[in-house]
Amino acid sequence: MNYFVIVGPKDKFIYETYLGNSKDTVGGSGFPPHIRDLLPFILHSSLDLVYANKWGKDSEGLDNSRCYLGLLDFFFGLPITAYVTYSGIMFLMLHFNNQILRKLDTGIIDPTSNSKTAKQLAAIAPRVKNGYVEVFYREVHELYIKTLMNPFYHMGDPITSPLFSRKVHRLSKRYLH
Amino acid sequence: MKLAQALLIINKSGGLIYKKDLNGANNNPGSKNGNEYLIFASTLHSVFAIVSQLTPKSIQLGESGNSDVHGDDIIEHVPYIPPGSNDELGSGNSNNNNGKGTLGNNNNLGSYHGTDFFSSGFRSWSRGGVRQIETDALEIYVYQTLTGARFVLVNTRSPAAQSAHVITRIHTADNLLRRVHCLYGDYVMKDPFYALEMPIKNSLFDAAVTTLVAQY
Amino acid sequence: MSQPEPQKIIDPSSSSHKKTVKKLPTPLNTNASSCIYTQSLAFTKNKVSLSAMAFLFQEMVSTIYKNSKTMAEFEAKLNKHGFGIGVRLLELLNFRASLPVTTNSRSSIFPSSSSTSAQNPSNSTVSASGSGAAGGNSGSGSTTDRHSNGPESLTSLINTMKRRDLKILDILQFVHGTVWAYLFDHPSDDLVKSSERSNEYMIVDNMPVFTQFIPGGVSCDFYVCGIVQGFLTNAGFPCRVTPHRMPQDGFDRRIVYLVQFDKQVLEREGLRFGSN
Repeated sequence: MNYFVIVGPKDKFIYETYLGNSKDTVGGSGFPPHIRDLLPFILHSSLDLVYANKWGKDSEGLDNSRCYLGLLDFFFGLPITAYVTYSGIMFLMLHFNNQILRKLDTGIIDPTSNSKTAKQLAAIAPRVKNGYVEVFYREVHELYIKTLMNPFYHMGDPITSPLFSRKVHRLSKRYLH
Repeated sequence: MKLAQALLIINKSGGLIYKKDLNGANNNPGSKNGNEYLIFASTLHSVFAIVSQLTPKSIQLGESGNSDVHGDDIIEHVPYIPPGSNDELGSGNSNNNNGKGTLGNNNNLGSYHGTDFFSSGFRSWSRGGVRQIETDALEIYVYQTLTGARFVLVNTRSPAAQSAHVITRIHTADNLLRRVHCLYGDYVMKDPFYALEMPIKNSLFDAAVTTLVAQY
Repeated sequence: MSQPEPQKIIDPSSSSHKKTVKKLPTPLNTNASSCIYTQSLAFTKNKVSLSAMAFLFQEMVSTIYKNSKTMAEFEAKLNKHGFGIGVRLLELLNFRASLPVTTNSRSSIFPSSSSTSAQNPSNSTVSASGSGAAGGNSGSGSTTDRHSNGPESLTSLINTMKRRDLKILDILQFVHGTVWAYLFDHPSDDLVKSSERSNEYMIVDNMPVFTQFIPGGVSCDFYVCGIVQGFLTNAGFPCRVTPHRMPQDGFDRRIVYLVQFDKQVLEREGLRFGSN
């Protein structure tokens, strides 16, 4: 299960979704509600890093003009990847896996507690497969461009089309699971 | 040596919307001849109205039907005449350019592709109206459009012009005026600040007409 | 007095009229597939009549002119109309530039953009894994479902996405070359940096296509200015673009689009890429 957002020009989320099968999670119900409320804050907090990387230098010290920014940040062991489009729209994703979800659900690990938890989480954190994630982001980028081609859609408007949602989910099944 | 010529456009209510002196001698547009041109245009307009009433019904009937009912003068098919070959109009400067009539080095015809505005003959839209008026000193050619605007060419009469058959002269004038109509469609109709049926004050149109007529 | 007939209580669920009232299709429950996601983003060379374009432009200008009270308002509105186009062109043209040159989904006179951006050696590992992922997946699924986005999806053809333009000169080259070629079928006639002020650049067009039939001043050229402004602003280079007529060399209608970048753009450029 992953949490995916598209961030618009004023740091507003114009699209957010939970990617993955319901089989992934405990009881098939997706994220527990107290975690669900926390997720936007987690991604918001990593926006600073995205901005820094957008215009700054990447890990090798070279100008980062790539679209895919890669693995940017960790939140208590949960990896966050990012992608930037040509007009500054950012795609962010918070990666989970089953183990972490189970632990979060049963309250064994409280992400807001302390740094010892970070080491615990890092041990069972999901590995991000950069190639697949990048292709996923590219496909969503193409979908985004098609959304933008709609003359009635303005920059920064939320994306409400169910067809878009369906395609994103299908893409995630293909590339991320 | 060019003959004295003037080009007028008269809108469908009879008002003069464009006038151009093509004779180099007196080419100040807003001159004291302005009023005279207005009177001339409205007179022409009433003459057109009278003449279309005078046209025999039998000829008018033939206009909407097939052309082989009454012979070939009814629905006039005007052949294509390129700009260079116009000895018939007697202007005397037909040897400046070759018979092809290329329009300068830019060959910029606005929205028209190719070397000329049109390349084949066309049906005359004249509905029983005036096509040519001959007087002792002048020849006046009229080209009517479907929308009611009339393009008028005023030519001084010259002895050299008499050599060509009158119908050829009419055809040549029709071709010239149709080209002016094409320019009108381009530069006047596509100007967002132009109000329809109002006088035309358009520098691009002026320049294009000057370039066009310079070939004749 | 006879007993009144017992009132029949009409139960809404049993009403016979219920079935005949159709629900209006709201955008969420319509089954008609929106075709916006099924159309390809590939370039198809469609010819459009210049006259048709000129008439449409003329009517648009007329309407805006009638609704504006001052010239400045008119120019601003025209600018805004072009702005939306610039925003969309930014994403679309950059995306198309990422496609490999051999596919016919790129414009035939697309100037190659790979020469301007440096190819990072670490980039090759990402591209290998990217194409490897696509290749691996295509073997697993059925052949009809080669692209999850549908057969019109172009992303699977891309090896590496085109680099984002971070320098002023790079993005102006893109505007001068690719954007102009897309809009007007030829790259713009000149790209000049002003010698007087460091934030001013000029794009020259000898024969503006949209306004060639419009006599008078440059007000109607604010549309193209809007396109350029939308493009640059959304790419992270906020600026102001204004048209100026400068006839030269026999081109009477020559227009110079003056691009003035905001101060912050120059500061960022200086900080990041060193002052020169």
